[in-house]
Amino acid sequence: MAKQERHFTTTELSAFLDGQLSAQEQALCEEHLKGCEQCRQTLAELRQTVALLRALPPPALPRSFLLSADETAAPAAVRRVRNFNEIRPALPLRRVAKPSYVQNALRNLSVLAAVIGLFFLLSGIFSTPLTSLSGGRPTSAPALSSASQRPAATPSAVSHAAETPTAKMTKPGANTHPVMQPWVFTPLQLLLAAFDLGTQQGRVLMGLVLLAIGIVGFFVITRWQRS
Amino acid sequence: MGRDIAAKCGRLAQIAYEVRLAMSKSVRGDEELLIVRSQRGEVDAFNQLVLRYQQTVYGAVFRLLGDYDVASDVTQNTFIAAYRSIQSYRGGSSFRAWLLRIASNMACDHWRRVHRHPVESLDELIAEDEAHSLSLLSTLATTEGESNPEEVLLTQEFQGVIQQGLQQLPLDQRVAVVLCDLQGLSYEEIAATTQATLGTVRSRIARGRGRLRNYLRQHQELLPRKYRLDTD
Repeated sequence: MAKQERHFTTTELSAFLDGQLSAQEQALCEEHLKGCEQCRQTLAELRQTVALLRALPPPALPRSFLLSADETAAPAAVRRVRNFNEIRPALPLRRVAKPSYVQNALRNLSVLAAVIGLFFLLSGIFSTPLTSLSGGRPTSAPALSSASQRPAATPSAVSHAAETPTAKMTKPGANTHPVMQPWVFTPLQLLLAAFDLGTQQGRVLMGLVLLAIGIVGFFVITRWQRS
Repeated sequence: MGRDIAAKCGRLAQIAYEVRLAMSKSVRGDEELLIVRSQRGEVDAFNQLVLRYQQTVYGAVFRLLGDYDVASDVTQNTFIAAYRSIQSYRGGSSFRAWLLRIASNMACDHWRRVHRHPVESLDELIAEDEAHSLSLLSTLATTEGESNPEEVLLTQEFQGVIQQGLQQLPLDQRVAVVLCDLQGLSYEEIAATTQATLGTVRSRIARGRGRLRNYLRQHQELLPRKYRLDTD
């Protein structure tokens, strides 16, 4: 029989311990162990580890697991997955609350709303002309009041603004000093502006609203799930 | 007419059952009889099997999960699932191995579910940390025959070390080691339980033992003298 030159691996020694090697491998291993201190040491440690595991006393039973009539009812809850013998858990464990599909869907919707809101917000902010960022005309708000002065503005904004009460209340001097006009919004105007995605202000407001709804919704639903 | 047929069918079924009972009694004895009665829906018969195997199942699940309460829940669910699916037990493997297969599957599912939602588990662990530690120590062992309190404490510490070592193993290696070295299943039974090949089982057991050996080396001082690993 050829002598084993290399050391045996832990896998081989572990299998040797359990008698899981072929007869030829088993004999080869025994032969090798006679002259190899390192493999003998590894084998001894593996044997000690197994002995420790087998020396463990069984844990004390916390209670009896006898089945009651209630527990044996409703057999449909068990489903088999891979083969006829394999059982997957039929009942959710008491200590792990499984979130419902409705809760998950609402939470996902909240995240989606927040993302869309953020998109609108960024879209509104970064499409603002640089002059407004450098302290020039505050173009972020007066779309309603100054829309009538800007024929090039989007038709929807103009039409909304032209019909709004604020536009009608604008003083004649506003044509020459629109920046000085106080921003006066009725709730209806604010609502209309918020949903007018054709304007920068509309996108910003829509973004803020969606972002707020998304964030609040996410935290509320998360807390709901945990409770 | 219909009633006669139903009565005859019932009679035939009764005869078949009695024949099955007689055969199983002669072939495999008492346990097989209990299994057959359980397959007929007799809860009392199944409960006798529960009494016979609850220590085995709970022991395996506890060593896999390391948590008193969770092991208790998983064990109960294992017996419920086993009762509901006992019709599918064909006797190809031992009933003990079949139960351990269900138990290890459920324990693994629980482990994966907990690690998929670690926040929920962490909350629970923090809330119950102290109580859990105490219950773990008291659960770790039946300490018959050890009257010396120091010995009892040493034994509990020693078991705690091994349990911690088991918890450090990857799940597949832990299952293989627990089923092989603690429950005494054969490699073939472990392969059937874990849906793995014999080579994979061999490798998992070896790697698990190797890791555990390294872990125990670092905690030599807590091991009883006769179990200390010789590192010289």
